[in-house]
Amino acid sequence: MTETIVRMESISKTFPGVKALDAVTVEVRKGTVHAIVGENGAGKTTLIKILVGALRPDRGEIILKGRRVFFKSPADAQRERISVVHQESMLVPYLSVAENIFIGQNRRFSHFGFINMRELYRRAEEILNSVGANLDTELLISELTPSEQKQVEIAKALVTDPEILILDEPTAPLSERETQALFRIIRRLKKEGKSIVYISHRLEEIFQIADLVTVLKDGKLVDTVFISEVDKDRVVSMTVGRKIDTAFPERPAVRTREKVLSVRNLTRGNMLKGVSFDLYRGEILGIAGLKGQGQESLLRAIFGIYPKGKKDRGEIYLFGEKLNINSSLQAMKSGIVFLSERRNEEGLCLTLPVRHNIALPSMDKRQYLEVIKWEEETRAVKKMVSDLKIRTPSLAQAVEYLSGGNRQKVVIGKWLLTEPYIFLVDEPTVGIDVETKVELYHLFRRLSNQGVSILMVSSDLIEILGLCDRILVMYNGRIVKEFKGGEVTEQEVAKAMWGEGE
Amino acid sequence: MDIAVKKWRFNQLLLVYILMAAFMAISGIFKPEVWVWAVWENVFFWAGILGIVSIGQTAVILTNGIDLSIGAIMIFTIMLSCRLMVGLVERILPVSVFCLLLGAALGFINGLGVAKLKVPPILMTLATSTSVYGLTWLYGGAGGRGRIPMVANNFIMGNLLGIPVVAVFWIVLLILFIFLMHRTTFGRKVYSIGSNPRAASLSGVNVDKIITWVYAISGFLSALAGLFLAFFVVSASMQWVDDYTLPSIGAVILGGTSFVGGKGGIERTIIGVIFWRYLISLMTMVKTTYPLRLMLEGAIIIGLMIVYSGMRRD
Amino acid sequence: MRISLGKAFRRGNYMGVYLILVIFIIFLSVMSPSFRSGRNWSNLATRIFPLFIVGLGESFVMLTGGIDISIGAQVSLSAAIASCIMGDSISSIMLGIICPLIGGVLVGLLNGFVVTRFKVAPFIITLGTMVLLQGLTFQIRWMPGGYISKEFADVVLYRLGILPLGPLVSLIIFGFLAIVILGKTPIGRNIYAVGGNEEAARLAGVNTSRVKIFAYVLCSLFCALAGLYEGARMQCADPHVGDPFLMDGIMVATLGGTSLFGGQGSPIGVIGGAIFIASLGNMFNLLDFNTFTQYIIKGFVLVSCILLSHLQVSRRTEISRRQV
Repeated sequence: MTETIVRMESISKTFPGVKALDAVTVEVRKGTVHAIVGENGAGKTTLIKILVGALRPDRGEIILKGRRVFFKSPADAQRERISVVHQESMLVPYLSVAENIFIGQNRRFSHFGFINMRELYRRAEEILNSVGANLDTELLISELTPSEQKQVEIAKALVTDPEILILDEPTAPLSERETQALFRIIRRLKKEGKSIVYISHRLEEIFQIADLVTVLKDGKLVDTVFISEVDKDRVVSMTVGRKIDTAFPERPAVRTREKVLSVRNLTRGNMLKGVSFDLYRGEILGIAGLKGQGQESLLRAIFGIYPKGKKDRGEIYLFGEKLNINSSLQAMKSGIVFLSERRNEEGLCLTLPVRHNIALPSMDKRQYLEVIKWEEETRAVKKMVSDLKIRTPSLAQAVEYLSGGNRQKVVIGKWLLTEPYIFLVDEPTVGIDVETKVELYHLFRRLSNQGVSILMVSSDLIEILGLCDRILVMYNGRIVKEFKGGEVTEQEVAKAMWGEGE
Repeated sequence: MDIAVKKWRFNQLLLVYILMAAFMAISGIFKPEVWVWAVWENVFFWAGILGIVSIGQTAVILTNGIDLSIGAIMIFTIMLSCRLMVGLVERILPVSVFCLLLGAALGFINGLGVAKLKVPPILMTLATSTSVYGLTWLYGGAGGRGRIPMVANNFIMGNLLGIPVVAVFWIVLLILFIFLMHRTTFGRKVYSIGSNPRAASLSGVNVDKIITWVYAISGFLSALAGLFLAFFVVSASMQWVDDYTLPSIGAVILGGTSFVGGKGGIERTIIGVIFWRYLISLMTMVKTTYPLRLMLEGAIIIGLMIVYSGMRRD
Repeated sequence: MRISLGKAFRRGNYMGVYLILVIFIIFLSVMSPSFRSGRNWSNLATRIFPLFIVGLGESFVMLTGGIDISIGAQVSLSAAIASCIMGDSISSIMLGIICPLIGGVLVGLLNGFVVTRFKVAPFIITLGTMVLLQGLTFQIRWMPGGYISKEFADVVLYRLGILPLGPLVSLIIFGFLAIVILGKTPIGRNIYAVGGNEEAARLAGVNTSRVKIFAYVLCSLFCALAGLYEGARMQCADPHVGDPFLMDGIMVATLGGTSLFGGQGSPIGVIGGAIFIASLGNMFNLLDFNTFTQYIIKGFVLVSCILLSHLQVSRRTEISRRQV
């Protein structure tokens, strides 16, 4: 039982501007469930991608069952019976469930060059049943719900009868019952001598199912411990490892009670079910919650970019006046801006210079007959770059060459130039190094002191607890609890996040 | 490490430019006839025509699109202007204006299809192209009727300070459009859309509107070039007229503007246009056959795309 | 007992095209007595095969998420090559068939290799190929001419009374071949996987490059066949014979339900598309439409095809979006 099945030795991986992994060593033992935890950007997904052959490490090696192995592609890892269920959907939408299960494996059923579909569908049904899924194998993936899709992905991973099964946030779309079904499979696999690597944010689950846990922080290994030897608090503090008080700026003692934003009964699609709260001038209001409870949808709804639906209800008031915002442009005109979680896909034009990116949303303020007032813009952008301490060789540098932290500063800079009243922020410090994080915290506090109201969604509890004046917890599309910053413990917030004490 | 990567990529572009210049110089040594002013006058004339439409094509390509209707709009303009002017001098101005507006309108239709109906640019402009060609033949018949007044022809054949009038127009438009693309909010928005339409939209850019305008501009410029070409051929006989769609794409490619990602610009296309026309003039001088020309053009496009593919972001 | 080939294509989205087709044919039959004539049906059937096979080839490439602009030029080139080589002897006929096919394979390899190895946009590369091949075609066959063996033409266009057996049999053979390849072979199914979600396919161990190259080669082979057919039909090679096939091919594929974005489509739909476009052309001839009015109408049809394709995609993304 204590035999090692795979050892990742001193793995390092750097992406442009970000050191994702720094000499991380992890050893997985046969017949165990080995959890990997860490904040967003700690390096978990990168580590996994290296283990399954989707990425190659810059340094370090993988030792599988005592021999060194080099994976040139995912096919190599599959051949060594390492299987993975990724966080993102890896299914082909217009192919059937059965064909998706056997994607890349359909040669098994081919005799003389032709696939025996009958056999393929039959085997698919068998595997699906073995994971407790009751699905019609002929359905197309696009016709399934997310949780059904996840079940298909799990079945797909078991096709190669893997010795190592890696699960990256598998229970996100699953119900409690389905999660328990998954755990039953995991326990069965354990008995069969297989090893499971389990990545999750959900401590509850990890303490239910895992034997060991490896904690990663900012690309480095913190420690690997037996679950039986620790408790949840210890694990959480390992992922953070810094004291709450030192990193964060002080909260001001006096607060104005001028209401800036009032949200009443906001309902959108399946994600928001009657959200009501107020946002005051100059405050940093944090929204905590497990992933997918509606926080991101809330921000997008306020910014006007949430897709319209029939069930839309509710009102938003800005300084007492009712708002009717249906586009990002309208939101910006009202002084509301949005910092997206996906800064590369939604916040930046990577191939374009720093100057361009920063100046874009506020261009209309510095133009005459559509001609840009060049000197004025240069001054404004330079000032922003220096205020935010953006590290770039010049304003003409394309943003793609900047590190994650500096990119985020560019996005923040561009919004700040529009002089907003309200700053909607979604996971602002994901994938950013510690120094920059602290800089950002101080920046946010400075802004709020100047009168800007910040509505911040974050899955980083330490961040929320340390920075925010007030904390709202969202669960299942509603606000379930409100706390005052500085007067609550992590445990209380976590409890509310899990829906306990509702 | 990142800065080194950037330098290498930029140097690759420079390298291609240097190679082109070297090629021109070396071919000049082997064929000294090239260094006759008349040849260059000719090059610049045709470069002017190609250059004008290439401005529009560059702008469209910068938005991750492509305009395949350039040739069709040019031909249509030639036919229409001849038909309507019927040699009457007083008609030159009104008919020209009409043709330009029509070109813009056709481009506008392209833009609507791409922006609002989300039709892939290849197919939208292909459809417009086919329809416009059809209209040309339908309305104009196989043999062109009508002609352009000689005044216009004299105008277009003239020189300003030794440079062909067409080339002068090209230079003026270049200055205008390069300024537009780099120093106006419109140009910024175009680049933003090419680089990341989603981010642009979230930053308050009206993506649909800008795309529509870009195609309208391309249509307008195609009509303008068509007009100049009409002045040159005087009567609407089609056999003299090359198709300019492909060369405009070739010029953009040669210059190094990329098809995705909003990198590049009209300034790069200048080099592409000049080199392309030079190549054609050279080939004509060494009496390359039409088939050989085509093969060379195709090979250049493929070769250059391969070379430039190394320049894109990983 | 519900499993067999049907499984692969049961959820295809080509019902629309057959509906339109049936309506269209009924309309034409009612409006034009000459359309109804046996001779006309026979002509029509002759036109379907090349449209089908080029559309099929293009659909293979589209299924992987790419596009091939050189299909028209390939048809012309193939006819030109054959016309230069074919004589009356059996060996020259064989050679005249094999050489264009080999040429097709080479072109397909070129297109596929450049697209996969250098990650260049398929549109641009195949555009370059198109120009290259046009040049080559003009080089070897400047004016219509050359010789296509009469024996060969007789076989290909074999008529039994008014029934064009040759074309119909060819249609059935290649249609069947395509259905089998796409529906039953691993690489055929992988074409759908690569077009549907390339990253997922890659991570699952599918050799996406090989699949794409395969699609391009198959497309080129089919275009070469179409070139041979057209050469046989005209008994000589016209360097412009392939020109209309670019637009027509794309229309046939799109009308037949093949999505421009990849992952969706089937040969069954493509047949419907080919019949429709052939009927359209037939109608033009019967109603004696100006060649150039045809252009306009075709342009209109093309846009409608695209809209159809686009609506299809959004309908499906609607379905998957509602669950998010």
